[in-house]
Amino acid sequence: MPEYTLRIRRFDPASGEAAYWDEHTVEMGAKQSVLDALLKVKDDTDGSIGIRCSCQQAICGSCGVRMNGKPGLACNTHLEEAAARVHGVGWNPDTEGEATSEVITVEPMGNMPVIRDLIVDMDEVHWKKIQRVTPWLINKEPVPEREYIVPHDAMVDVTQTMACIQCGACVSDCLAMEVDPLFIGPAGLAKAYRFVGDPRDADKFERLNDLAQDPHGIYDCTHCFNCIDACPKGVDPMSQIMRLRRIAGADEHIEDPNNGHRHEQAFTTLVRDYGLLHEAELLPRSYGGDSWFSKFHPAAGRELLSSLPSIVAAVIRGKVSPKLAIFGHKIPKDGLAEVKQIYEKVEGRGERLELNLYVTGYEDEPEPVGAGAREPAPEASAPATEERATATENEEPQ
Amino acid sequence: MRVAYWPGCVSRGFTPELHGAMEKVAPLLDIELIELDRANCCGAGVIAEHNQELADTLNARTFALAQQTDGELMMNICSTCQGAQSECQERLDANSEYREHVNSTLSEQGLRYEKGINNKNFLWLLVENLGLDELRSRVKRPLTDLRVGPFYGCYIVRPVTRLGIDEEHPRDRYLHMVIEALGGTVVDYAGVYKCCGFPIITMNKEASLA
Repeated sequence: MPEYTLRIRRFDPASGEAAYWDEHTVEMGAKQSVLDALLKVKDDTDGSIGIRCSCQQAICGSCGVRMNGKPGLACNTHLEEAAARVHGVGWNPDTEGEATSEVITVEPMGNMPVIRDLIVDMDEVHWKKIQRVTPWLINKEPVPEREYIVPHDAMVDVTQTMACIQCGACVSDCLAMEVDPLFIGPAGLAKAYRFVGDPRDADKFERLNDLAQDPHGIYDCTHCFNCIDACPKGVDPMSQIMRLRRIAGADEHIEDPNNGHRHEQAFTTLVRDYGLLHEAELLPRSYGGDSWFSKFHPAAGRELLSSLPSIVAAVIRGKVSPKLAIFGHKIPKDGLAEVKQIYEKVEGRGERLELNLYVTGYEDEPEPVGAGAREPAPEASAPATEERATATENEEPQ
Repeated sequence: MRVAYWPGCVSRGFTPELHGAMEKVAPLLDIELIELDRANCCGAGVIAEHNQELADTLNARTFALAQQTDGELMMNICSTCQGAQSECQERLDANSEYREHVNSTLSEQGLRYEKGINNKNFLWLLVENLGLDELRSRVKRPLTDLRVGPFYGCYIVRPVTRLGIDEEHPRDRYLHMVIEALGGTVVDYAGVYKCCGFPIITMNKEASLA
């Protein structure tokens, strides 16, 4: 049986001692879980290691930890899988294409204070964020005498967010929350979508408006994708945040003081008119509104003024020509006409069309980017698809 | 090798050194660039948060234009383009009904996207198609004694499944590998896979620059 060295971050705030690394070597099967190994060490060697766990079947959400830099549930992470990645986002072998490391660093989740060793204070951060989004249904009046009749598709649509088991893995590695602790964050906003998307809820607009006005709401997410990779249940919190933005901005036309909706509108309009992004126009329009005259808006003027030194420096150094900075660049006329045609056709439809792969699944094996020049699809993608399909079938609306 | 080349917007705008360098480097690596000069902005995830179908259709147009060339594959030089285009491709490739719907919009322009385009960032192409040994053999002035800290950008390292990052293709180590192949010394630091914050520069400047 292979040998794994667990490098556990130990810390007891009450002791007054600094955190330290504690190493234990175990002989265990590669397909056994990191939690199996932690519990074995706890049973055989050191009973004082602090770890929270319960079901050991990836449903209670208790054993969230960071394993070799990536957050997840210790109970559904194979030892070999954790060992193959070394402090990074994916596989990250430290030699070219070869996983050699058998050391697994286990740390408590991030963005939350440590209570002891691998146990973090979920109340202090995670549950506060969940409470922030009013995580219950506000009944539409009049309340029917019997049950609400809800379209099947609408309930399937919210099952993805209902699959959340509140483990906090997405909160752990949220890069926006790392710099802005007030950010509502991925778990809270995914929970918000669960009610925004529920046809029985009476407060859809108020919820969206609240999350759009809050400087730490839907427009504070920085698109880093960490929560998508962190989630053990396929909730894709970031995708839920983007859906909230689409409904708030494109459908409900909610204006916000964070420039969120204006930025999205400005970007979309500029690509329609130029085929490419006109960078110099994007800034004033995001602040001052979606028109050429936005530059004369006081908020836009202030921003332009503060970026003037870098714009001037870029022009002086010959990095950009004054012509490009002012007029931007366009694709050729015939191409631009095609782009405009796409806009007219898609935007002209009464309803926005959205494809949620969590609900529809993949027709066949997902082919990762660049599949043409590659060997057979990675093993990792197959179970992910199955898990998603099963999750959709099994999650009954509550 | 002939590739359908999508330079992106910013690489021809405020960071022209990217496109300029690519044009100079390509012939030295025997890469022939067929520039997709009629293709459009990838939307950078922002158009998708306005209207997902619009973003998917715009990128399907770019893919279709690339497929009209005789390039072996499509290549980009921008991590945001890679991420935004991969996201749209994932949806287009996963569902034939949806793909046909998008293609019906493109059909008026005589364009059609066929499932499974091979769209690679130049970094991936360097390692997977040219190869590190070949790259090493072409080095004229090695980066000896130059310490380089790699920074990838979110869109080119996450989500790992969508971007095809796995044991055989550790694409999230390629920049490390290329730096070493060129003779430089890699400096590993805590920020390698962090976010630059740019997407929220107009929404929360303080957090963005933090």
